[in-house]
Amino acid sequence: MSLEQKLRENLDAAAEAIVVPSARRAPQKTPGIGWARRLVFAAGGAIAVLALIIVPALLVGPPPEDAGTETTGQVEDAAPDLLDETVPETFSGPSTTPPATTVGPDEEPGVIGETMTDDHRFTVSAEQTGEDDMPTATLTLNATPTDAPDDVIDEVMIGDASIFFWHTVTGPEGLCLLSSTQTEAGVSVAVLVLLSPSLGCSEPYLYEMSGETLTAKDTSLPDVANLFVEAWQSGSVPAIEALATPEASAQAADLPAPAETTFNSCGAVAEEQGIVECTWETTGTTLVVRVSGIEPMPAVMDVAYSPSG
Amino acid sequence: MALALGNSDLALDATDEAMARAAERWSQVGSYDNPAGWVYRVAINWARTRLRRLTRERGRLEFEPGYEQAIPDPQLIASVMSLPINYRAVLVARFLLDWSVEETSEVLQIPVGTVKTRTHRALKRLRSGLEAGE
Repeated sequence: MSLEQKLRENLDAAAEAIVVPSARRAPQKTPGIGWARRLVFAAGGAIAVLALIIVPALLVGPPPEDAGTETTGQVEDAAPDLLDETVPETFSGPSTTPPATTVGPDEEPGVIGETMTDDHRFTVSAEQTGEDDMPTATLTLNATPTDAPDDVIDEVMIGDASIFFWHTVTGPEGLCLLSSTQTEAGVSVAVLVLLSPSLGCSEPYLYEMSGETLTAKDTSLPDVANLFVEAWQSGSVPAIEALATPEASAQAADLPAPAETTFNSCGAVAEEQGIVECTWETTGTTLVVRVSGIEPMPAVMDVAYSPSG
Repeated sequence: MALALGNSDLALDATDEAMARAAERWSQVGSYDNPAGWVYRVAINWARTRLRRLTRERGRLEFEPGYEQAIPDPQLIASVMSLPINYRAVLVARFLLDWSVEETSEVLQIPVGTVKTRTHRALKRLRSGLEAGE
């Protein structure tokens, strides 16, 4: 029996054997779901549950016969992976671009933040979706020439439609981080959105502007290190906490933020463990940031200064 | 969801959250090609954000008593649970939910090549883990 078949069989059995938490504990309030949403959930949950169970069965049908062989195909064409230890040659250090500025509705309707490079201006705009007591928002990243802000080059939806809360993203610090970095391949734009004050920031949304096209890209471990340093320099504690483990966040809180940094390099330090170490030169010392791609998800696990040289 | 996240309690909360969001905007979500996929992605993304905050208090996956007899190869499941969440999410989508590479790519919003890479690497790790255990 192939490993793929074994996996199917064992995952099926494991899924059946999992203890359903609701069967052994009292209901508890889920952060982020208010009473109004609970009511809606009670009414619509059954429909969604049915959809979750039935739709895949109806749409997907039996597994394709060659499912097991797809795993070896065209791996070289794959996009950069979160655990890909290869550090792109075009990776550069933190942008010298100033942190994103929050633009109020009076200044430009819908725009909640902007960042600029020499040639491009990137804005994040929010559109309200829904009219209930917890309206949601759809966010869009727009690219325009720096000298022609009305001439949209390209735009892309950030995440999914209606996955953010309108009052949260349009409020103070609705964007935890918005930055742009000039690379050899083009411009890289990173966005971290505040999900809610209690949940903190989203995972990073990364986009690449190549030519006149904005495309989403995966977040690599060096990306996480780079964004962490940017967040640290801009003093965004929510962004730091979203990008680092609690231990590394505490380390950063105890250390002075690096004023000026020059990116050195990133490299795998423990290939099997999926840990990457990135360094920057900063006023006589070397900033060392280690990112783990293992558990529970890519995050800065250690930050320290060491004497240069 | 619990298998993908490796945490029964978090899976319950994530599913609650994703279902609530789906129910709130069912008129829109229901028109998608794969509404279940939308719920899966929202739950995974929500849980990933939350997992980062729960590093110190993270729970675990709980099975019914005597599950070792119900699962043909408990060692394989243990190996799956040792994988990073991004790999588990792909494996569960591909081999438990039986979604194709393209569907998994669409659901998790990652390139098709990344689905293949993660599947390939996850299986490679599982193979080496099982061989080492033999």
